[in-house]
Amino acid sequence: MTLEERLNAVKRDNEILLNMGPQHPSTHGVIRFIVRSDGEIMVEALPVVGYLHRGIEKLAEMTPYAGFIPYTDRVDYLAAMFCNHAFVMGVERLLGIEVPRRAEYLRVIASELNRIASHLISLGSMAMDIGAFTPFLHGIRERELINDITEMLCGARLTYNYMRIGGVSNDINDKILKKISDFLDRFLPGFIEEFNRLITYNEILVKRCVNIGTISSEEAINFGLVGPNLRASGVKWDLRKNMPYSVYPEFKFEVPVGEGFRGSVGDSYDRFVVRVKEMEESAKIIRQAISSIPDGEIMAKVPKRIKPPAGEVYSAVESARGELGYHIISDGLENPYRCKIRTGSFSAMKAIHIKSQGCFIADLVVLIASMDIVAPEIDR
Amino acid sequence: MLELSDRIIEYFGLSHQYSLIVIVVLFFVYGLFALTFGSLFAGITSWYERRIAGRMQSRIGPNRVGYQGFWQWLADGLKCWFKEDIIPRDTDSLLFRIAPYLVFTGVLCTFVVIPFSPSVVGSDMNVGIVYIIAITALVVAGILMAGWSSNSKWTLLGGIRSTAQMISYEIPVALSLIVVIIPAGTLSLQKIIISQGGAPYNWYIFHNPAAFVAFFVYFIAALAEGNRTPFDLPEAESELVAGYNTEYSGMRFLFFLFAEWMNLYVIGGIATALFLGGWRIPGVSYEVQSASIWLEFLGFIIYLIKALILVNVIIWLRWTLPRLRIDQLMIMCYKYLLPISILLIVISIIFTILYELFPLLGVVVRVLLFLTSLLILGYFSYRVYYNIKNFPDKVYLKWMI
Amino acid sequence: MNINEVHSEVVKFFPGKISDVITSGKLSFFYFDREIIYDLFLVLRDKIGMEFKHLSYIASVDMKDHFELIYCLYSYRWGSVIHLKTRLNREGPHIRTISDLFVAAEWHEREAYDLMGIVFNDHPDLRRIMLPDDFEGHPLRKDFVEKDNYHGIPTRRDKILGRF
Repeated sequence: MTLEERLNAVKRDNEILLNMGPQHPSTHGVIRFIVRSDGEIMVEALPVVGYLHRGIEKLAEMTPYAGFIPYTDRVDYLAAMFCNHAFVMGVERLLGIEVPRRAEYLRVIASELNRIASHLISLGSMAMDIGAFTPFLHGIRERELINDITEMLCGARLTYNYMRIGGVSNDINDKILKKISDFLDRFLPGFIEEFNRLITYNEILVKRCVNIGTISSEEAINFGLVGPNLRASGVKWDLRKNMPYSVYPEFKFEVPVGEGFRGSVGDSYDRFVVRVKEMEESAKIIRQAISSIPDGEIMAKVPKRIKPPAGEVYSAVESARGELGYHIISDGLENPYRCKIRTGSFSAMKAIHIKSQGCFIADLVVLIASMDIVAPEIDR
Repeated sequence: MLELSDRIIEYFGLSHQYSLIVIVVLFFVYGLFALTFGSLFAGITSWYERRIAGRMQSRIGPNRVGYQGFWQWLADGLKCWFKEDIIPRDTDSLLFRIAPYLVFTGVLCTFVVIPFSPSVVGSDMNVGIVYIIAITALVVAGILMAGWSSNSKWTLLGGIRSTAQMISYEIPVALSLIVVIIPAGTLSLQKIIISQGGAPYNWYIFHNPAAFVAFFVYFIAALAEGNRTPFDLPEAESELVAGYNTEYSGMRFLFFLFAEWMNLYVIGGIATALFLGGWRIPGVSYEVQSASIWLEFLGFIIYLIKALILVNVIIWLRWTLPRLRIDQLMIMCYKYLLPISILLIVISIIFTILYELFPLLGVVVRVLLFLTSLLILGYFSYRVYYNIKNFPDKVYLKWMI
Repeated sequence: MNINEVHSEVVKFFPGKISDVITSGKLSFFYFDREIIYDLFLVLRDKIGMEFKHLSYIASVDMKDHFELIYCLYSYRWGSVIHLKTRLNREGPHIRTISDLFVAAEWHEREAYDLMGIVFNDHPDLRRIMLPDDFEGHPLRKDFVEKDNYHGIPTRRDKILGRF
């Protein structure tokens, strides 16, 4: 079956076909939606993906393990640390390497900083799609500080390539710690309060987001949603708490769950507020981490040629967009035999397809923005 | 205009048979003046808006072209002049070409009635306000033509939405202006300004509580008519990729933007003329002011300042608030603004009759409303001071850098 | 419940069609025959005590002489994750879809069809998802050779400069 056959099978006479094409100011990345509507109310918004397919899973079969880490950055360039972390964790489990504690603390600090940066972009783009241009730029201003920190840490501002099999690549020093601490003093509570006053409590945003795309908790589990989308529907599931990895059990933090803050449980406003609260929790984790970094090595003893014994492993982290998992099958050689990447945005696309029936075109934009999808995660 | 022509004829000592020629020449000069003023205002507002938007978003805004980027609008205009004139192939080409001019003309013709100073006004028609509401219907026709003739589903949607929005919001605009016409007793803008006083508590906004609320109703409805945020869904970038002006490029596109920025001055100008006392100077009566040329100039400056403060508020709103959806827009017009403005007309009539019977009541209500608004302004200044003090960054009060 | 408990429960329903629990590397899983897929997943999803209602992913692997499909299920109620596998022929692989049980399966099965060529019977909308509709071949297979050109665009990456 082709796309034309699929569309012609269901087309009726009083509908128009609109194309929110691959290039569009509000789809987040190159994703295409074919909207069938009668002018304002949509019957269906069919997603067409694949414009950013780079064949990362096939490339994994031709790349050595240590050389694959920069590829994992590009799976989700807005939250690249998590992608690195999941892959590296999987290979370490296969090899049976124990990562030194200092390296684990550095991984956690870098990951949580990246979570804040990713959420700033996601909330800012959602506000920009609804028409408020200013919160996006305020978020970018804070994100610049995070980018400066990671530039001092590992030399890159977007695709970090920071983690190595067995640890991390660069060590942290007092200057970077001071800079992180200054950023946190300014971020929580000053910036969060200002951001909330500017946009989260804004009546117009509330009216635009409330009761749009309401997903109940059973539906969310069935759709395969993860991350803030799932938690906003009322399901209290966070991989950092339920299936702990790394040194997360040593930190005290809450997991925000949507409870229908201004509308029903699981609508777009819940997803917005859950992300704001997650930013606060991340800031708390970083504060606890930088005050108690242990001394030690940053890299374990790893063989020069990494050839894990034949076997499989599935390792997942709680990324900014949900669960990011790598299913690595190794056959004892230098390259993985198969590397399957499980991302959160892929499942969210089906949810958008189902929930877009019967709402306005303007609501479709809000729905897409609230699910926080990025094109590279879908297409890999 | 007629008095001005009489004075010119006396000054130059010409015979009265040339009065028709003098009037025609004066109209021509005034038209040029209005066109220049409108275009200059549109250009300078574009620079001002971009700078203000930059400061609100923690960045600078254009600052390269000229001192503090002041000639940015000239550079943009010149660039668009020299651009290739692209007309897509399957468009209705006559409508496509006419549409920007209709929109521009519709907004420019309102400058005929807006008074700049006691004797500089294009034509002090005695149906001034009705004329304004009627001539802005040209804008509606222009936008509909633009949306239809571009031969694209997205622009058609944008054009239809914009048309529906503009013709719906003309009703609250008209009704809220009637609230002020009732105490004034005349539809001509110049005479309404004359019948107000100079000092702030003599303006029509404090005349009765209905006029106070009518100012805000007019402001909101005029924003919606001018397609400004929070009502700019027809030209929303994220949903419709600039709506009805997607297929326009170069100078034709600039005409739409010109019309939008000129409309800002029209909104500010009409609101000032009707509610905020126009060009009246506190303590100076109309005869004294129209006799001396310095006081006329001062009146012009005062009018400009008041209108510019309102333009400032409009720009501020644009970069803060998100957008309303089309059905929320329509609900706000028909379910909220329309009944409120009808109610305000009734209240205004009651108060005007009461003031005829008890003149003291008028003074008391005026003073109370004036004090209330002073309190609101004071609270607002306190909040500004509080925010500046608690902001984690150093606030650069030197806005020029 | 973890993989061993699930295995002992499920073996009672489908004797002879479930293999033993295999541990390969750090992952434990069991194989099931492809005919029982619908009933097996119905049991896994709805039986009290298991309630694996979240389908995480469906991965397709090309073992040299057969295909394998890996299903990963999460149970949020009991906080556990299991992996299941099934074997398919290399010539004409087909298996029944589970997209009427798990809505998430629709897109994962489309991806398996697109990249590996596994046909899912009764799927509501089986067409290519990442690659263009007129692409020939299934890239994730180990014996996939790229065509020389796609609509006239050459695809060989060596000797590019010599062409001009």
